[in-house]
Amino acid sequence: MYNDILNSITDFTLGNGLKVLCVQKKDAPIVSVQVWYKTGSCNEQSGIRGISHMLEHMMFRGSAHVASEEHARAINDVGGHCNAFTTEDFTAYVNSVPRNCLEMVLGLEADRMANLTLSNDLFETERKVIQEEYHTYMNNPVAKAFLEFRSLFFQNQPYEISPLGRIEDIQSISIETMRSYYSTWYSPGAAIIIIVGDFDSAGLVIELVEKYFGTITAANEKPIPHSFNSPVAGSHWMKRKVDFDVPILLIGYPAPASSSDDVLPLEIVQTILSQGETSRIHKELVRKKSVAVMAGGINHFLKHAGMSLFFAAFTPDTRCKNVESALNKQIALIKTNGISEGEMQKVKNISLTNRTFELFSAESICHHLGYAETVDGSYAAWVRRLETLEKLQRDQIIETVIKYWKDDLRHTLYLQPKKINPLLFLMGLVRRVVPG
Amino acid sequence: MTFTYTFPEITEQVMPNGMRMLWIPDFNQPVLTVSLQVPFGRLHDPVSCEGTAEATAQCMIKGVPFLTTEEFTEKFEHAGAMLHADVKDEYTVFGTRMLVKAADELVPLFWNMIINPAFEAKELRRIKKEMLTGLQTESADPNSLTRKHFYAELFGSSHPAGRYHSLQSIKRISSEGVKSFYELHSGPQESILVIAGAMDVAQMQTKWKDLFLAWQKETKRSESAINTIPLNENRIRIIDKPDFSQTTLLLGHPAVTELHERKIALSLANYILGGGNFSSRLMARIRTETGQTYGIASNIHSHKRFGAFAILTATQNTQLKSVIMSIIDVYREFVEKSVSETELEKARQFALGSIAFELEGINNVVEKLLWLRFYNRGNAYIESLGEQIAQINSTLVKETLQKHFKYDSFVIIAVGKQKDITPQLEHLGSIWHFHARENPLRKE
Repeated sequence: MYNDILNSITDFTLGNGLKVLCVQKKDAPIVSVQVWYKTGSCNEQSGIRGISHMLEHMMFRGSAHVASEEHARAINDVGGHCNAFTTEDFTAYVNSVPRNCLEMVLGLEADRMANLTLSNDLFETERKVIQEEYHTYMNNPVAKAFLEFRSLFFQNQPYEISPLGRIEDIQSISIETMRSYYSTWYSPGAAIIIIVGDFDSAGLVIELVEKYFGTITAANEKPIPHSFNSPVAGSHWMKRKVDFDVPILLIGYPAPASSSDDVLPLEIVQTILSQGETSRIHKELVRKKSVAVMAGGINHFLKHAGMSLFFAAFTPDTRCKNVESALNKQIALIKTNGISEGEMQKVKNISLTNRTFELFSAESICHHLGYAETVDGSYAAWVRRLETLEKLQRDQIIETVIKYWKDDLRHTLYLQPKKINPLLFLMGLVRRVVPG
Repeated sequence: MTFTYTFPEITEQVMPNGMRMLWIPDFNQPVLTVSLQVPFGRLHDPVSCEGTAEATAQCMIKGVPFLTTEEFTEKFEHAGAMLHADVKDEYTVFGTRMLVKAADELVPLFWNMIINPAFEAKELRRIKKEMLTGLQTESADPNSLTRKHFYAELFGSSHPAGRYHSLQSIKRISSEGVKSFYELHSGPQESILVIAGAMDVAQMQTKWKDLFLAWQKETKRSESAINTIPLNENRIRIIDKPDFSQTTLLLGHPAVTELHERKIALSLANYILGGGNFSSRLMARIRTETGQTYGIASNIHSHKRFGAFAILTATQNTQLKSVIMSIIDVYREFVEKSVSETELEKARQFALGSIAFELEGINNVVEKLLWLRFYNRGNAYIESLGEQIAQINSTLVKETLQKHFKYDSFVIIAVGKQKDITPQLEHLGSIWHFHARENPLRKE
């Protein structure tokens, strides 16, 4: 059962500082290998916004013993898959392969950690690919508006700009700057490797990791991450007209850094407010008041700061102010009336079910361990989550909500359609005339 | 490459009411997964009421006559269980997963929902509103627009795959329509139930036998005939998105059915053309060598009675012509000269190696079993895949490509800034222009 897997985590650090986490999982003949570097867009200053993401692309463009794109091809050709993603706090490389290909993956990952080629010609080609990715994202009007909202929310903090970066920086970052960024941040001491799957023993896996990564020289200097200011005080209300037919309201509150003890209480309340059709927000806004078609929320905890986000999508006949006031009321009610014992039990049941399903896939276990170790401060935070949940008191949870979700720190964004679709307008009216 | 895969222990039976049942004990986690496949999907939508399958399925999971929707949903959500209806083209899967300790209460409730759904009018109104809103969001999504216009152009309105739900068709869906759709298309004879998880199978079979046998219902369905439109010339559509700096592009043509004898050969070939990510020829030419796209892929979407092949990518408006000509160039060379033995060997290795990922975890096993049984395939289809794939050589692939992939014309869909991209496509044939909110069947 789930405890068996989590109790078998092997945690080892090589002499050069590379941390290794291994979990044996033998229900499928596969193994997942992930390398997480502890840098992302939060370590980018003006002029190099987007460099972490560009480096992620260049990591597939060849190293001393591996030709350009050969890493991905080698994995694909054995039936596996690989990918990578860049966030604010980390850059992760994901490989899943049949069990007999573990050593091949370790060789590929070690080669690009130590000996990335960073050819100028390939960098120029890849710069075009990255611009294509940027435009794909920016063609989405809602995503584009959200980036603006996020900039305001994290104003003057390293999280102000998303990992996608700034187009003018993407167009101008030089190969020399890229080489310098790579040598600063891509060293064994600033990385962890997580291996989950069907291998013979953790001891043998560590021997293999030592064989491929043990000779990589540790960096002379420890990289210095950016410092963080306190969140900008004050609330904002902004409206943007977008080429999107459905009106959307977004409300954001500051939230703590991911390693804070306050994270779990906010997660519990977010589940009660937002998860499922019996959540408070859905019941009130969608079912009872019929002011929204869908509504919910999500917490976005980062290494140094966070955001609790609530949203509602509604029909054009509904006044935004009514949606906003209904959403704010649900948050206020949590602060004044608290949460019930039944709601606490529901959160515990959901958490237990989610945990069992998180453990079904080797890739998912890798991801959770990598995230907890890199962003939360320790993988143990994820492992012990259910135990911590059991100990939390309802009063403690409400105190946390009051501490963070303050009205005078609320940021609101209203996305108003440029054109109103008459049928959607009418459907909204009919819905209200014949209430459900 | 050697390949061995054996499914876990499965107890399979056909119940006296005609329903196929599969029981899979799995003690890795203290959970139970229940999945029921019923034989209706998007392709069974009544003409002019497209969206009925979706509305029916979503209405079903709102509950049973003896509980309010709120009470019904609360039973599942309070226990931490999830309940969903996933409407695909050819069938729908109703599923729930739960902690084993909740099974005694939730499995009978789930089953009551299947055999005696409440179909409350107010829930249908809410679902229609959600569907309309979803439809509105699709007009901003280039991939969605591309897919809908592709099927509309390739198959036309007389083919079920050519028709999608629209504002008008959703509006026409009624309570009576949903109930009669359910009556016509759901019943035990063509349904498959899979229960997997931490359980004693014999004990559960005894405990729930009467429950499952309570579904006594005859279904008298008939599949309507489908016609396809011959592809004798390029058929081009541009869907105008004046604010877009990038064009989403699709090129496609008909393909073989899922049960066609050459389907596996074509799947292997497609890995080499565009299905194999960085190992594919299209990715190498359009992304790796020239940086003209973030991604490009080709897929064969095969069903029981038809299939479609499509290449999908996105690129800057200014370089659309260059990209489309490169794609056609790669495609033609692929069909004419076929594939090398080295490429084919890599495709074989991918096909066999990826099976382990498709079957990791009990949920994936359940999904794969439902897919197999829908096509009347036994477990041997997967377990003998190594032998089937080994028989496919480059000569067979070449012959297959010549016979089933040799198209001089394509359906071409471009979603982007009409003013900029029209001149770049005019040399390929006549163009039909649409705006993003328009019904894709307007052309007819």
